[in-house]
Amino acid sequence: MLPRPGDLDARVSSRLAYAYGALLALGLAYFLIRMPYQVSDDLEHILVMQFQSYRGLVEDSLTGDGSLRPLQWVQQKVLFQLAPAGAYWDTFKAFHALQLLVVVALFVRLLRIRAATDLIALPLALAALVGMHTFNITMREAYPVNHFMTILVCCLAVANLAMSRPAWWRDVAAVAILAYALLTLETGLLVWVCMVAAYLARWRGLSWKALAAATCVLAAYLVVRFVVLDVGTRGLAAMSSGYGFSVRGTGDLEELFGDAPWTFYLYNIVSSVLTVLLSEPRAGVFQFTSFVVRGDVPPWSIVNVAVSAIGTAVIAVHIVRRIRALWRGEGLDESDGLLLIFVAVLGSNAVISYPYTKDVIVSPAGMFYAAALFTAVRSLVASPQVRPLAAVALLVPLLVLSAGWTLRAGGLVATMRDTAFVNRGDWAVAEDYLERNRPRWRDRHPDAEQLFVALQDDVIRTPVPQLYETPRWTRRWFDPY
Amino acid sequence: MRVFARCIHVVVALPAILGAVALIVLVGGVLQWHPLWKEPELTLSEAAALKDRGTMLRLLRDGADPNARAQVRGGVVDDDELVLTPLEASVATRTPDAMRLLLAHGARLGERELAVVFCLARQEDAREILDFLSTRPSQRDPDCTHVATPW
Repeated sequence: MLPRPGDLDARVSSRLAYAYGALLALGLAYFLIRMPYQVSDDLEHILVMQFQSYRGLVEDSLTGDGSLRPLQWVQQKVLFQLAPAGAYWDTFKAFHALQLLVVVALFVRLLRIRAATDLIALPLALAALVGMHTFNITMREAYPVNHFMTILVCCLAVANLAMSRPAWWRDVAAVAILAYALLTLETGLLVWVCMVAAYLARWRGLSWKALAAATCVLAAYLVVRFVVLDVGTRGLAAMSSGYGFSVRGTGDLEELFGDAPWTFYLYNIVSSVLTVLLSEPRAGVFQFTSFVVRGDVPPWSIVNVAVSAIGTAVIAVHIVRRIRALWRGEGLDESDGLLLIFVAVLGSNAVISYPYTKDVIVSPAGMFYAAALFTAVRSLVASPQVRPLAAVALLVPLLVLSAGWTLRAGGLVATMRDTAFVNRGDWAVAEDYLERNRPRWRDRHPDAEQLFVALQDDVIRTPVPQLYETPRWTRRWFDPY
Repeated sequence: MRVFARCIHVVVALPAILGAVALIVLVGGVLQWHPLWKEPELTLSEAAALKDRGTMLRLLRDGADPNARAQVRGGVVDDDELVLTPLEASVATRTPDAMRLLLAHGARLGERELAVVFCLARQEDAREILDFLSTRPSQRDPDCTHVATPW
């Protein structure tokens, strides 16, 4: 909802918030557009786009093993065909940067910046958004379209629609977004979760009719997926996944959990919740704990766990205070919706991650964590009565929180620099990769080799930072993963 | 009380530094100044020493000689500046990745070159490179007591 006309403070605050968000997003886009994408997935997908028709892509995706993502392929094909004069990388990266800008804009809109105290808490929320490890990987990988970021856009778009004034077109848009998200990635289901949570929080931008229609779309999706096409879901042996102190291959997982896969699924669900709340484990691997056991904990790991733990504590205290206020008969605050969405998305996102855990899968929960943190910190900042003792007691954890998230956000740039160097090097030997994984790749299209050489040449001529020039202290303070 | 509240505000707003950095990066980009994304010009030997396969392939495609000696600035392989062939320089990475790329693009590994590379690898205890060299056909391990290594 936009500020009321004449409400100067709110308007100025809102505009400043968008300006700051745009500045940060453009700053990150600067690095994003310079970073070569990884070879795996990107190269294969682009070569598939070259020889496969739209119809073929959709048909293949309907017979996938445990996944149903036809619009993922359609989206990639559209961008591939839109690319002017072979500027494939530029086109995919421009789209990625656009997604980033939209995510940040919708995120800022969702926070409803209306006063100076809101503005004060905004940089911390944005630092948490981009500094979260679940977002980091979303920025660094593409396939070559980053569909995980598409889901972030869809979740934010629906939450914003729900927060606005009611209108029939908003209902239609929300249901269409849900259908699009569901057919793009499994985590598209979280769009429905956002709609329900927003409705429960009494955000009335979307009507009950929209909710009913969305539920029908979801039911239809589940019927088509599990009954009509029998695509099912990925099981235990589908992917390697983190467990304990290391990543286990599918054979290991079969051996460990073949008799009782549900124990592994439960492990993944709990891991997914914990990684958002505490930054530990990472993709199912208890990394910080293993550093502690080894007796050598790098500072970046301490920072990750400390700032996440403090942030989670701040959110938890705020949630308890809000529950008490509700108990006393106070109505739902508008920002309570953000807390409710966060809790609902966190739980659902973790459940969806049951077959295997990856940080990028829980990126929607990570994003709403940042929104919940904003709500909690804003309430602290806006609190009219801060006693000196309480203020002193608050200062230290808040300083750790602020400085820590700033460092983690800076770490995103550091990892993009490293990734750029590594990816460019991998592209130099990408032909070997293709020969190993797709030995008959040249036969699929008469111009396959020409396209490959053009893509490779483009990448190896992209300037990237030299790792040997990176100051050593950054290796200790910036999360390299 | 107001002072404490101000302190909390300042502390919470600390991440706004990121906005300032973003502004510097963007303005710098417009002015073609890229403090956080600059790449120095490298010779093929330097790229090989840094396992920078992207630069290696670019230089090779642009016509660089895979056997030519070139300057390797101080700090890359050794504290001092050296003059090395790309194959010699690639031993500094302790893996055969850069070496493979060079050999695929015409680098010569005759008896004399092999002796130097082998002895360097042994000197650096670069086991992966020694393993890689041992897989090459009809090569005998050279006697390193009579081979001069460049560093």
